[in-house]
Amino acid sequence: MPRPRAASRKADVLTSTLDLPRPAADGPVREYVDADGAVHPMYQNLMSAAQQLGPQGLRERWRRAKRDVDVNAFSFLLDPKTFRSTPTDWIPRIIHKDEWDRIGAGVEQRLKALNMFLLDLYCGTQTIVPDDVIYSSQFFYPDYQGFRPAKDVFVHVYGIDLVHVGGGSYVILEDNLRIPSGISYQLKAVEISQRLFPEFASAYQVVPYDIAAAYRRMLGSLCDSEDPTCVLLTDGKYGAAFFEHRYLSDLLGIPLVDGSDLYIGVDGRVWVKKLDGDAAVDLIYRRVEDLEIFVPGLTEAYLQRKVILVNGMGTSAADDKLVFLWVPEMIRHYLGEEPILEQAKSYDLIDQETMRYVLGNLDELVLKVRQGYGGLGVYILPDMDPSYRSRLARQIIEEPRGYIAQETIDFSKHVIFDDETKTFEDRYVDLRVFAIQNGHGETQAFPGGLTRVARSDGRITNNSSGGLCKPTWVVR
Amino acid sequence: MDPDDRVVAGYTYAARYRYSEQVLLSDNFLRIAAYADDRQAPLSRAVTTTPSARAVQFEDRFGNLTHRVRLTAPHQELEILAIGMVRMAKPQAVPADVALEHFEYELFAERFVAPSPLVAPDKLVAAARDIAAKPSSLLECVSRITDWVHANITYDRGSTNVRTTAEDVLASGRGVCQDMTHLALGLLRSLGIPARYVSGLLSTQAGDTHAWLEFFHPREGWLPCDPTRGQFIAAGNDLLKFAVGGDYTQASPVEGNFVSRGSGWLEAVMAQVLPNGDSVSFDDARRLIDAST
Repeated sequence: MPRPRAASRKADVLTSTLDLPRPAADGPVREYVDADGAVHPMYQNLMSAAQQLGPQGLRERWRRAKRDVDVNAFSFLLDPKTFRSTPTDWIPRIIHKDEWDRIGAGVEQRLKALNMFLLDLYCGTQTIVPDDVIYSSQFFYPDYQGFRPAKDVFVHVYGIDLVHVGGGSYVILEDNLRIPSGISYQLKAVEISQRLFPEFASAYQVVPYDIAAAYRRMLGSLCDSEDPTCVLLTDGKYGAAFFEHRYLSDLLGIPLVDGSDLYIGVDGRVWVKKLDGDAAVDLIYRRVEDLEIFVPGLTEAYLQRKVILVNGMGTSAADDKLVFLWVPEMIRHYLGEEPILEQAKSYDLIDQETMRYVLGNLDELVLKVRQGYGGLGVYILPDMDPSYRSRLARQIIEEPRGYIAQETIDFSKHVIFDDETKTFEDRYVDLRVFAIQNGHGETQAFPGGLTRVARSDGRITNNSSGGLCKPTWVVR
Repeated sequence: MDPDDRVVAGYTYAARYRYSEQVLLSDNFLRIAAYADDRQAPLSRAVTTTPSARAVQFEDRFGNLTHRVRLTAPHQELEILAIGMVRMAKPQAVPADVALEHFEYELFAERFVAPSPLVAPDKLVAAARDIAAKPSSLLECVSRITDWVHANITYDRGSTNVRTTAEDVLASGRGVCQDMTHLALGLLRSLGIPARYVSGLLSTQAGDTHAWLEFFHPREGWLPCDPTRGQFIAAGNDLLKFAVGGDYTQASPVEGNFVSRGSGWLEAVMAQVLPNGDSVSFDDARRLIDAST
């Protein structure tokens, strides 16, 4: 369908006056422009505002936002003891509510199915994922067999990584069930962008949501007592996500504690040290990896149901890049539904035919270390040197259970403004969406998410790989 | 196989680990249950630990019955016991030989010509060609390699460790059963013969676990070969098989990690095969290790 003339002319003007990138026509989808390279109707108001500010004005605004970020210590730990302010690009990513509704429903569907799978794994007789895959994982804990968590919720806070492949279609790359991080960056980026860029925000109606209320309802739904003692367990101020821990503790009004603040009492309960007398803890929102190391005896207290854990240890069995392969089957089996969102086609290398296919097509695939964290265990093979590829081939032959292969997806780019050079540049972006599940059987995905921007030379988008983040607005 | 050709044997396995400081958490994969295949039919298999813990058991990707035990009760000593009864085939006759070029592997055998963490066949090609000296058949090739390893590698406890590779063994000329097996595996694989590591028990003597290998015969399947004892077709019921894998790292009897401020060590291990078919108990396993320490 041809677009109206007026809009087209306006878009062309914008493209030329803002000096937006003009890549080859067959490149990746660019979310802010149409197929023919003119600014997308949803972005026209935003780009007009940017045009009015001009490169110098944008630079001023970027610097002011940077100061705001610094003052708020909106930060990410890069390497031990070096914090850096979260690098952010302030041109928002805009997702229409109709498009979001489908994403949100798909995320909630997946969250429910994963939780039911974990219940079945520990308390039932799951037959979806092969025993060898589950039981050989270092993140499966045999001592949890038979354990039922409070209100049957294993996965309370869920993060899922998606990419946009164009036309409003999103494809899932990964699930994060243990300690999904980044929700505070989602909130903070939106908050700062709306406050400091009123001319961007004025023309849009951003769908509101209340994360604090949803979290409080979740915490309350799990505890039997009227006024439960809840704490947020952090790995300390040199942990990568300390900003987030502090932010959430403030937002939810629950104390931030580290392992040394907690101990197991003679009654077998977990106690928190306080100046005005120690208190028994009802619930721990855990944000650390190895609970038993931070609080010796915690596993036993948890298994004895003396304390509730948010995102308890059991979640990790499904937080496995290999278990990912079977999630669509979980959705069909436990919910009797077809998956709403597609996921990246993935390969289990234990199957010899599959291995042969993967070895023959390495230059087209992504290889992920199964137990890896962050972007460090992700190899995008088409972007790699052939000699490096053959080294990886050898590694997967030696340890086929240590990796999964995934098809390479042509996902979308978005535009960023570089305030140093005052130029625009297209970069790959992904979307981490967060959702919550409470003890009343409710799930809720929070509109938008955290858009992560890859470095200019790559496709890996997470913070530890040196990317940026972007405010993400869901608009009506 | 005719049931009369089979004998029933029992086995016990006991290992004790000690730690210099309390262990807060230990997670263990135990491959100490009799393997099930057409030469060896387990009648019963059991594993236990002290302190005790909830365990799961599963068949891993090589078909090994693996017990996964995770302990969260603080401990400074860990005892691992296994017992079982197995119906074993009587020794087989030397199988028909085949020419090397008539090799057509099945998919599952092909995996075992590939490198594994401690065995890199591509680094052993030159040595293998020398040693095998243009063999005319599969059995000739296997027997030359077995004999060579048996004659040229000196059995020496303490010269190697669990990370010693096949290349290291070739260079140093020393090692234990696991090292000799690794070297022979690498030499066979480098000539295109599928070969896998086997961990288990030697019925002729009580003591630590033993290691040998199996090579793939296109008509007979996997055949045992014991380089340490220089037996290129190992006597069938001398060997009670626990687990198979690419090498030690994938088939070792106990694979575990623990969280502690201190260090841990294997204090004693004692296993035996009881060929007379009497039933066995965990107490038998304990008595044997007590007597040895």
